[in-house]
Amino acid sequence: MTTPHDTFREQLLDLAYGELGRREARALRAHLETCEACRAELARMNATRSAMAELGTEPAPARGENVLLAAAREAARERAPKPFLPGWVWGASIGAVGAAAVVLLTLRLAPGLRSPTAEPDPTELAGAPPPQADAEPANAPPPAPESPALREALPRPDATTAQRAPPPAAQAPAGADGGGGARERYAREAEGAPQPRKQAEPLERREEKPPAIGGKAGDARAEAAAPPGSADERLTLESKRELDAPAGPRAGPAPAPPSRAAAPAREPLAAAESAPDDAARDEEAADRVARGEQPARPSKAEKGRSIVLGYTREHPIARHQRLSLAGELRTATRAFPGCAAEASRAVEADTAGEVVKVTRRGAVAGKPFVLEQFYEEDGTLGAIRWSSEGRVHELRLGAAGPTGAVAGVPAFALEPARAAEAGLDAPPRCGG
Amino acid sequence: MLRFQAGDARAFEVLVRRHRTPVFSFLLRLTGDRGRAEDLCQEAFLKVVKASAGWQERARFTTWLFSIARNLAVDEARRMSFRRAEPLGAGKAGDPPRPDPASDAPAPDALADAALVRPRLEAALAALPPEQREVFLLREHAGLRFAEIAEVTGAPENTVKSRMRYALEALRAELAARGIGPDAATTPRSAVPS
Repeated sequence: MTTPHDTFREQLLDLAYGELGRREARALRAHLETCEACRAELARMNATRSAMAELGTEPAPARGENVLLAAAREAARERAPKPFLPGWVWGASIGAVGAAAVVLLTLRLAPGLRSPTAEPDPTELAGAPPPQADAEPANAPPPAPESPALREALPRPDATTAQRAPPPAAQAPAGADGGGGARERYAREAEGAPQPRKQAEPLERREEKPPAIGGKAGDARAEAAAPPGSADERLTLESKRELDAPAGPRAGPAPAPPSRAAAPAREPLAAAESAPDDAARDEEAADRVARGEQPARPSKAEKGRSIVLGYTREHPIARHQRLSLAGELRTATRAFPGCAAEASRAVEADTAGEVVKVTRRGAVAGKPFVLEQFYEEDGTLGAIRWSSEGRVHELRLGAAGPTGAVAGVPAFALEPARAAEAGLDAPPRCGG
Repeated sequence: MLRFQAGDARAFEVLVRRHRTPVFSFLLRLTGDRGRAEDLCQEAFLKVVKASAGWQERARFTTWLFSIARNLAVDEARRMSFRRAEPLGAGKAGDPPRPDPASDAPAPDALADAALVRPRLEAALAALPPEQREVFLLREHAGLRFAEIAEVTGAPENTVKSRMRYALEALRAELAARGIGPDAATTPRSAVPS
């Protein structure tokens, strides 16, 4: 038979850990005043707990933390409201980087293996020894900006993408096409698409995608062999990105001929040399893709050209991802109470303290936004991602930055142009 | 967790910074093996990342996290056919604790010298049966309530409380046997509280 003393004794543990209700605790304390045995037991419990409290905790080793955070970023990115880039873009980027590396090694280490019919290496034509030409690709100043004709002839990644996009028959309203749905479609396409015999090409197309860490090369292969319908769908998604071509060719009801003149005046990236038929070649490749045909494999000379013309300069978003995965970024945040246009700012800087990415959150005209600004290694603003009302605009900026209006993106998203002015201590832009 | 679920990776960073050490500490003392504890801790958080999309706020995140960590440890122990964790050279369940070389030396002045006392506390904890040790760790170090511990371990709450009582009594005896606590001078080494 359970006595009141037994009941109280059972409750001692709850009292010691503060889990006893107020009324029961009061009754138990009254009992403790008269029961020496219970008092002694409670004292023993507390003494033991007190002694064991000296044990403390064992700090977790730091080495695994970055892996966890990288996995979390990846997961968070996947479940973001709308993906900024479909998976095949990342896959293609990996392929592009790999192919570029292979070609670069081939050019540098085995010049004798080059096809006698191939065009000479542009680096050699330029009279620059390859090692020097490779020495500082990332920091090379924008070459020959004074030559508009040359710039016109160079491939423009974003403009080319826009030109390729045939006008969607019935463009879905913004946000109606959920990112997850599109991703699943692309995944299905990738699974069902025949695999080309060789992984490669076309290098021109690949070089338009930002190189990134993490992605599947298989996506690039599947994408290259995707049927016309899926290509249309893919390009439709690209067209939704609304780059800086408000009256571009993709706005028309029928596929308009690509027009370099109508292309936005964005500076090409790291353009050093050009051939007059570059643009035509790109357009031809784009047309082939739009028709669902296998794009022609580029020659070695073309690959070499892509190294010179293409993205030897690391894409700032890829750079941020690389540093982030390597655990070389430190994040500091700051809130600006009362500042609607910049309620908070998160600054990610590398180990040298140079700003790599700034994320600003705020609201414009009552509409919340997230602005991510990615800075180049030389400190210039290289890319931005503007997310608001379920739409994501991503812009790759050239050395001179965009000129003219950028549809859907406010002008303040392109400032500050220098990483040095984007630190945590910079004043908030409440007037934005 | 809800913020991370919505795609805010920085929220997960906060969770990691807040919970990683308690989880690692729990696993280290549960398994008695630093390498295994590191692996299990990492695996637990990766599991959180993977399962976060379907997470529902039915219980505290801490409870969920420790459930994952504890289940991983139990599963691994089963796989490796460990009858029980034997950290710090403690004996089997029911065996008297092995002689502690430190206890042959003059007893330190209460808890004044943490460097000497801490190994004894670790040894006392390691000498507990696993089911008592995990309840003690979840309550004292993870800060879970008894009802939450019941949820984590799958045992009824009353059973959890009984294990906690036994754990405290056993620890008192172990500490006394190792020259720590008020009963140090009077409690025999092999005494087990009734």
